[in-house]
Amino acid sequence: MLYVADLVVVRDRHRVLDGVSLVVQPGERVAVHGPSGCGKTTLLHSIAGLVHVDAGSISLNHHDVTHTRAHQRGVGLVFQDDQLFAHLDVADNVSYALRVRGVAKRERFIVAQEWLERVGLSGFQHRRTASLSGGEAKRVALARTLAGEPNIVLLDEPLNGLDDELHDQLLGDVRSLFEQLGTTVVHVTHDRAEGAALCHRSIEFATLSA
Amino acid sequence: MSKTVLHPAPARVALVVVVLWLGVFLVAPVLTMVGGFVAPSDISRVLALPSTWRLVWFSLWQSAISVAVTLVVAAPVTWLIGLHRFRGRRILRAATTVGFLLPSVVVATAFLAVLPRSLHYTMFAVVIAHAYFNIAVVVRVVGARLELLDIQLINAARTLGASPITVWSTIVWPLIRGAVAAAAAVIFLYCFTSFAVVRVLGGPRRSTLESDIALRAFGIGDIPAATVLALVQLVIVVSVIGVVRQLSGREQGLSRLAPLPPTAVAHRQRHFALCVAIATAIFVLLPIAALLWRSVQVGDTLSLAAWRTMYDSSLAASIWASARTALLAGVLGVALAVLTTLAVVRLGAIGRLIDMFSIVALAVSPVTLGLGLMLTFDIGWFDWRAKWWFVALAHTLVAFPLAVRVLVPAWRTTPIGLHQAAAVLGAGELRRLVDVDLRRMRPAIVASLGLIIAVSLGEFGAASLMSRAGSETMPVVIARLLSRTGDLVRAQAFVLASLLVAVCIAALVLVESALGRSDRVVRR
Amino acid sequence: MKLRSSLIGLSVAVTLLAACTDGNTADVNITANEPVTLRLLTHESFTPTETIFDDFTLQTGIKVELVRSSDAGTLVTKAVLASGNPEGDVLWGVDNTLLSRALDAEVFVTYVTVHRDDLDVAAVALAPNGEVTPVDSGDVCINYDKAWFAERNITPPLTLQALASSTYRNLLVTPNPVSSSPGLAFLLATIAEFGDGWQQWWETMRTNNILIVESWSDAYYGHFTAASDGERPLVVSYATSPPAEVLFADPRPTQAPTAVAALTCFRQYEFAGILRGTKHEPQAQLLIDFLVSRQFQEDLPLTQFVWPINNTASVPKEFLEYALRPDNPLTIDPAVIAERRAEWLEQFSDIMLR
Repeated sequence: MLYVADLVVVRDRHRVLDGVSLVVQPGERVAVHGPSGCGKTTLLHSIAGLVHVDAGSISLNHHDVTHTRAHQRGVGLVFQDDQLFAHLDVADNVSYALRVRGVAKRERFIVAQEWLERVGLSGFQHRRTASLSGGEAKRVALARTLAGEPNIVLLDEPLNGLDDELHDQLLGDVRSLFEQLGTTVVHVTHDRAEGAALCHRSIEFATLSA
Repeated sequence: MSKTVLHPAPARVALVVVVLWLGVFLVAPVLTMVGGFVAPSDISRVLALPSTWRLVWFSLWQSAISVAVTLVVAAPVTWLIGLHRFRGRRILRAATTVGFLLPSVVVATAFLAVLPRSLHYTMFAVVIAHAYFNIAVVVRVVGARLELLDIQLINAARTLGASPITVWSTIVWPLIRGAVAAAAAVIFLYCFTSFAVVRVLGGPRRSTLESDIALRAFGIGDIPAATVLALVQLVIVVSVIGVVRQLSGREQGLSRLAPLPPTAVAHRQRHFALCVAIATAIFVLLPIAALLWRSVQVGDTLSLAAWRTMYDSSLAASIWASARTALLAGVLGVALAVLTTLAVVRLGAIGRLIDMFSIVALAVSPVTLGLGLMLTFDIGWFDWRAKWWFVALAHTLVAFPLAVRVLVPAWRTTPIGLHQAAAVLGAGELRRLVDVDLRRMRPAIVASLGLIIAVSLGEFGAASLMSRAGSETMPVVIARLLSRTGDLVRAQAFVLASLLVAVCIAALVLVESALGRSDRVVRR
Repeated sequence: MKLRSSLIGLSVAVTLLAACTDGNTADVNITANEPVTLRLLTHESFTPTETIFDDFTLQTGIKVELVRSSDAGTLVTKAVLASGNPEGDVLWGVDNTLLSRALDAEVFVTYVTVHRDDLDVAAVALAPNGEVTPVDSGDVCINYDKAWFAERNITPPLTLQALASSTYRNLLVTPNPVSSSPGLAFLLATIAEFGDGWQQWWETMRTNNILIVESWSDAYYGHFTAASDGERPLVVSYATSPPAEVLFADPRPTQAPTAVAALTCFRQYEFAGILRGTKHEPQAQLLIDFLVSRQFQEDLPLTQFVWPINNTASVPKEFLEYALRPDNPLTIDPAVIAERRAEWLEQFSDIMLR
């Protein structure tokens, strides 16, 4: 469960987040809509611990994580432009979170294989990230985040830039995956239809601020 | 399609010019020294000396340590400048470059002024001075690579549970490894052939190959031995460069060519960042401040007497000599560099060969080059030893490889679409070369002009051999003044050194602003 | 855009301008009516009375321009490299230790001065055909700070052999023989004294922490206790340094504060010559004559602290009072120096510098 209370983030004397509050129940998928530049990405980055918070609090599963370092929070984030590690192959990308925890190589590989299957990319283990198409890259990014078994998954415009057919296909696949796993999700997007299709409820970003 | 648009003809012409030029002014002098002055017995004599190998060993290990120390010293400021944006970033970056452009004789003297007596003539002094010069290499080369690194990659790794150290070792290091190796190679080159620093700060007991070459040529008068040592040095340097280039190979993860806007300093790290910036600024400015301080100290009193003597014709003459030498070297050097770049960029395999060869030009020490030129062009119509522009010739050769390093990446960013568009509009070969390539390269060309000018202003090795009385360049005069006794004379040396620093900084500002414009051009 | 094109324009203009006005005055036209200026190349220790050349100009109409290099070694090296296309017309400052290098490279043209018969015979014998003309002589010896030794009740070393004793550890500073002419003279003194065992002596000196610096002025004014805030009371310098200490001090002491170890001295002769390739050979000959004339030679002792080579020149009595002229200084045949100098310097560098 995610509990964000009166979050304030100031950048260059400008209040990017001005008293934002949000509650997400376990297993719930919430979509946050708003125009570009309003601060949606900053909100996600604050929850993930990548941005310094000036006031307010964030708690995950009843633990206050407002000042916990990013790598200790257990928050998964799928970035807007994937951010795959180009010097590692697909399997190494997917199993990165496990490598960091010291899991043995063979075990990591097996887990990576499993996740790749789940996102519909069996056989992609040894592919280089540069050779992936747009849709494939997004699946890999998703698999990578999920393989870490985070408490909550944050999606930042996950289906941006895909053509319609690919978009709908991926949307469907992702939705069934989340339903299967019961993942808690915060989904940021400017596309209201997408938000409605993927999530239980939709919120306007502007309403989050007090 | 690209072959017809980018016709190799102009590149071929450029290649011929470059090969001729290098052949006459670089290869011929080296061959003269080898052929004319070295008998096989000389080679075996010098190679058999244990001192030769001690020199090689010393040159190698002091260089290796200098590289390591430089990388460590430069790491924090490179991290700061490469990944972040903040007010004063350009100034800080420019400040780190100042050391690189300053003449070695001046810096060595400045360090003598700053360091306590107990540290004179020590390896510590030598290594610190080397770090001072070469921080700029790390900041620019590794920093450029860091700028291409998307900071979100680091964030992605963090959300996947990687601690800062893990992020660095698994994500950042693999991606900057190549740049670090490239920077290390360049620093190694400069430290290996270090002359003034080792002489002035290391004392007469310490000698690299380069300073020994000068010692034998100047002091002992044994030119054959000097030549053999120069060849040994050349072989080692070229081998090292070759090995490094082999190892760096293809870079992965370089999907973008244009640098991305860096992010603001993370809140948690802001104190550290401030400390790094201040420490670096102090390190860079301290020796310069020492120079200025010494220039107003005549004996034990503060006085502007030395500054006033700048109106004296002989000292002012050196300023004029330096200026015109530098300008000529700049113009010739840029021309040569542009031609070389054209050949490198357009001519595939031959281009790579020329690229390698221009780096070899960098590897031939200025002292050797000066000596070779003096010994080659000394007969009849080709007796150029008295010509004012002779020194500029040596400087052109010493500095143009650096310019090529700046121009090649800039040239490569010209999209072929522009050529195609121009061709379709009726522009011919040459026209397109000027209008499309050279025009886009304008900032990079200005940057290389500034670079060559700065290098020429500070060059000491060749100039000390080739300068004629009455038209000596500033570094030569500074060294001469420093070797004399007298409070006023010493102060005069520091005044000249301060002036030299000022002119170098001016050249640097030129380079900086031009490169800044270059970045913006690329991003369009 | 504007900045760049104006910059290019400026560079081109300057380059063209500079090309037209060659800074080198050696290419001056020689017309009968134009006054000739001779360039005299020399080293930093050439410090005659400022106006002394005015008389020469008055007598002959020739002006003299002094061009100084940092030291004799550099002076000779540059002359060797420029042989045939010299930077000046006359060179003053090649001494007997460096003479062979210059002669081998054919740096000079011969000229026998009109004053030849007045000159010191031993000196003339070193260049009998007038390749160069001797101009002064001196002795390079160990100088010691009398007060320093007196305060500590230590006897100063009087011979080179004595210097090797551990009593004199950390006390001697010398200029580098490779780059300095007095330094080289000192090295030759040790070779003359110890013969083939000279390397041994230097190795001992190395253990005794002898300090080697680049130039004589560095050694004397940078490290000698009597002339700086340095810490070495023993220095390789000239037999005429003690009088300099007296005559330049204010107020003048009655006794010299420093003294010379006479048995460590090496005789040095200095020469001047006409550079091959000069465009003013007749005028240069007149200058050589002037340099060995009584007038110029009598100026030498008190300005440059060397002994005149012209036997008819009188030496001021203050100089005679404080200066030491050793009767039997160490010497080495110039032919031997010529042959083995490079080898000796190489060995020296090996022991001491690497």
